[in-house]
Amino acid sequence: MPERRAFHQEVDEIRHDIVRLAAMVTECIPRGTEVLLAMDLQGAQAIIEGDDELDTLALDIEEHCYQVLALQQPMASDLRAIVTALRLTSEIERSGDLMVNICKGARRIYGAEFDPKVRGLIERMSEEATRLFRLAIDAYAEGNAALAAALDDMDDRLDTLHKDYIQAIFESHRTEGLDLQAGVQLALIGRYYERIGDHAVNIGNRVQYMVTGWLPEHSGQARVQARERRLQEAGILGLAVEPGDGIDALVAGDGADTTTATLHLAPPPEAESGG
Amino acid sequence: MADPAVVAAAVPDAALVVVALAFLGLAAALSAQVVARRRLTDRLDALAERADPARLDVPAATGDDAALTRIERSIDRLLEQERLDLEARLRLDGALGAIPEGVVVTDQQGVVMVRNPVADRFADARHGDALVAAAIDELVADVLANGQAASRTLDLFGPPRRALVIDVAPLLGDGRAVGAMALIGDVTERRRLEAVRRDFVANISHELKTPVGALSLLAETMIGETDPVVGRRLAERMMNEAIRVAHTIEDLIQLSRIEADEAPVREPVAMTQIVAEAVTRLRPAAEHAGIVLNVPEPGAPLTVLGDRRQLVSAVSNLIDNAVKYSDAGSSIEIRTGTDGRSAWVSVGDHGIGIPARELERVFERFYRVDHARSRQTGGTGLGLAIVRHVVNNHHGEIDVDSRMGEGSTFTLRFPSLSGPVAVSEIEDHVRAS
Repeated sequence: MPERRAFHQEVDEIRHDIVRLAAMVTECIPRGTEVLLAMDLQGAQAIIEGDDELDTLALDIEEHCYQVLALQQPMASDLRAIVTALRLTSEIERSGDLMVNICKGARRIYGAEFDPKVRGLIERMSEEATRLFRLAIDAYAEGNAALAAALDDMDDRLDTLHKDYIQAIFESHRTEGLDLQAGVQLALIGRYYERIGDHAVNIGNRVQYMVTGWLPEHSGQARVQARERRLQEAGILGLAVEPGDGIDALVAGDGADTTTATLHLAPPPEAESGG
Repeated sequence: MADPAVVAAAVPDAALVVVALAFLGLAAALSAQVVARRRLTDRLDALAERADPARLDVPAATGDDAALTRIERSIDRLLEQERLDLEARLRLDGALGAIPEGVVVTDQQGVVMVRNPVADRFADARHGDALVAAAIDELVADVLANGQAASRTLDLFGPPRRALVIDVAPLLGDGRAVGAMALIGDVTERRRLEAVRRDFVANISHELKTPVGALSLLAETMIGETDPVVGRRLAERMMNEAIRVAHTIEDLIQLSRIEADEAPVREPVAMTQIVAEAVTRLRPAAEHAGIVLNVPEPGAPLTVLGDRRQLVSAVSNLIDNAVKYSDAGSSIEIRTGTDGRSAWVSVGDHGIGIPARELERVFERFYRVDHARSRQTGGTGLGLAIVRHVVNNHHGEIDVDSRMGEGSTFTLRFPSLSGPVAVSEIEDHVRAS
């Protein structure tokens, strides 16, 4: 079956490219942090320009995915691999943009002095974001659903750091007269790091979906269905049944649209009702 | 084939024709056999020649046996050659494996043919290594297209931070391109050393010239000064500068002495004694700065083998730094302990901390994280260099754990005496022996 082998080669290529795209971002996080802490305008410019390269690769990957979808019409886990690649590309690309935002923020606060505590927390948020991002990509490259699932809890550390950081900015503003404008910029910068962590968690969710076909949203969806079923059984309304029908059809996959059914490849109904 | 004689005997009445036919058949068969054998011999010889074109000392005799012998020898020689080739290949593989750089050899299409173990990490790589792999692919494609060697330097932020140089050259065989070879070298350490050397020259001239320049300026002002109050103030400042330069020179001498220590003193020294001496030395400065030195009661009595004066100086320098970079009202913890194989002493403060990127450089002579602050504190910039040299002299290790705004902890580890960790009473005993 030569065409199947070719297909798997293409999937490998896509995976390879995604790992490369993510490597560009994981490199960018500590680099951008150094730019920020050293107020290195040239370095900031380099990162802002380097983002174009990242965007180009992201576009290439997307194009490649569409091609594979159109020409090979993959099914089941193959389809999930391609769809996951599409979703990951946007998550990774967005994280790269956040690093660009941090560099732009660094330019806006150029010359502002901020105290060691704030600097130390920036360093730690950066390390934590880098770590999460690396782990997310490890989970993807290995198809490790357990690691992917753990990312959500790991992200708590970054969230805590972010809270401490905001507190430190207030503190610095109060005791050392940190300029309000610089303070707001710094707070935004902290938010960008925190968002990178969130993107890593999203990547983890998508990897879980790729491996198991399950998404966290599925639990919420199951709850909605259960609620509607109860309402229906109680015979209270006929109105709410309408929107519910759509969701049911998608999940059950008994309709004519098999592609949609594969996309939403849900776990057995018992697992759903548990969530 | 039936024996014609038997045929003739079985048919006694048969005509001469039959006998003649039989003989004819026999002759034909014999000649066919001879032809076939010759052909076989020829083919065996041809095979022998093909297997080993440059055959030597082959028996010239004709016949099957000789031909077989020839081919046997040829095959033996061939096998021997193959064994030698295999050995040569293993040697080459071993050589590739022993090269500290990564080596990747591709064919003329850019498909990887050989990768040495160092370069293995770039195959199916992730994170920083994936970027290295991409750069190698790109350069190889360039080189194969242009036939010109190419090179690129990659700065990876990791962690850990690395600087890699990728050199790709076309491979020529019989005058035509048969592929490309990439050499991936790690230049992180070389770069660091270059930076150390460059900064050292700049820093030492700064450290020595600044106080001397200040002295001459102050003296010049003093010459034209008639007001005794101002004169006195100028003299005080001159004294401060002189003390400053004297400290730098003292530290430099101490550093050289530690470095040149060819016959190091090796005596068992109690860890508590080292800490006690260092704390006594620094307590006045700490009290003056409003900082508390905490020395928790050590768990087990620990002894290290070394030069007491040097060890005390190392710990004092750490405490001195901790005092300088802490705010009034904070505390410094000086702990000792053991992990069974080594004894450690740590000095932890709650001061301003060290930025992560500077951590590995703070042990360099005259290296300063923050020039403005160092000038106020009056350090010589040699304290940590002295600490490092003392630790190296004692085959120990230094760990630094630091966070900006939270403080730093320096931990010195020294190999402890073999056997049960010695107690301090041993001191007299060993001295006596």
